[in-house]
Amino acid sequence: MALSQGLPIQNDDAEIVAKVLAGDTAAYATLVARYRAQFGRYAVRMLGTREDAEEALQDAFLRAYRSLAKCDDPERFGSWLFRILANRCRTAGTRRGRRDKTFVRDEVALMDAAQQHPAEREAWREEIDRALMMLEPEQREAFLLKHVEDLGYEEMAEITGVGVSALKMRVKRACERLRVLLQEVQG
Amino acid sequence: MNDHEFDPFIAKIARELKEPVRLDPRFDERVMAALEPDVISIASRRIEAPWYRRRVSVSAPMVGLAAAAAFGGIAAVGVLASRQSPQAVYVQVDQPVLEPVANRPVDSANDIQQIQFIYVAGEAQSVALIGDFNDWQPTPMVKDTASGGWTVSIPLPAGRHQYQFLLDGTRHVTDPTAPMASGDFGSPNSVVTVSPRP
Repeated sequence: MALSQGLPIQNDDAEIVAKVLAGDTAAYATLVARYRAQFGRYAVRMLGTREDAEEALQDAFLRAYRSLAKCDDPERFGSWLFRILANRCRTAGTRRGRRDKTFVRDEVALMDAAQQHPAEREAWREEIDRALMMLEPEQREAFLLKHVEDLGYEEMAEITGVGVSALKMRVKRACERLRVLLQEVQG
Repeated sequence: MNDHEFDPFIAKIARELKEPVRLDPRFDERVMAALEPDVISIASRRIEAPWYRRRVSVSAPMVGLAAAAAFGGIAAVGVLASRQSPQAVYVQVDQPVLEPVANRPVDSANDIQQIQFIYVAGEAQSVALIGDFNDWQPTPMVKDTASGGWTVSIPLPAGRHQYQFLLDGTRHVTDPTAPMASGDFGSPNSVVTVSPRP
């Protein structure tokens, strides 16, 4: 199955993987730097706190490193890593359950947002984060993969192990729920 | 909303969520520091073939088949034969079968046992085992051309483990002969329970 547009495919991932497998551990830093931002964002949105997200992301990088020899298609290291991360987020979400703190409070990001667009944008950001965390985890996952990571359904199916039709339903329901939760706020 | 329909409201939400997130500036450093104890030889380590004599538990009429399977490495025959006649084995294509045919102690300290997974698939070009024990990353299964069965043995600690078979890298199949559990996100998984050794 060909992976679609969403996840980055870097031409030299396979070369870096080969270097690491040959014993050049330091080369792994390139892969960490390459995927940290996008995958970190996914983890934060999925788990709701930066601390949990960093833990899941670090765990994913370490597990990928330990299993690097099993990466059958090193050119698609990013997709493979993302699959690991998605599973770590599921595990983390299940283990943690719902916390009292059910929305992202990335204070730094909020501060940035407030500087650009005071009060309104900050409030809007908080409402989005709150609404996102009110979705069922599987709906949140599907929504993020589709609308934030811009993945195609085939690729989403490959990552989640869930059928395309079920994923479409999850995305649809997530959108409906977000609309209900956020349109009131928007007025 | 269909796949291609643009929804400005959803797009507005997505735009906010696409904003970068700041991680700890020392995140990369932390990851790289954590790699040090994990030499890559760990990653390259493959499960070794069991050196000990395999113990196959089957019903009495199947002892001959099981013995043949044990010597020939055709575990699928022994396992399937214990469920039905050998002729039926090859009819039931695409039906997974799991059996801890050989609970072989490999780690007395941690109570880890070697569990063999077997899958008979008629059309698949490749079969892999995925589960919570391998972070849902495919562990390739090896095909026995004589029996048509795919097999892999992995060490599992005592406890309950969820798994699926992955056909041709895309198709997830649960094992109808094993107990089922709802996965983290509601999709069903098969369950194998490894009993601690007495």
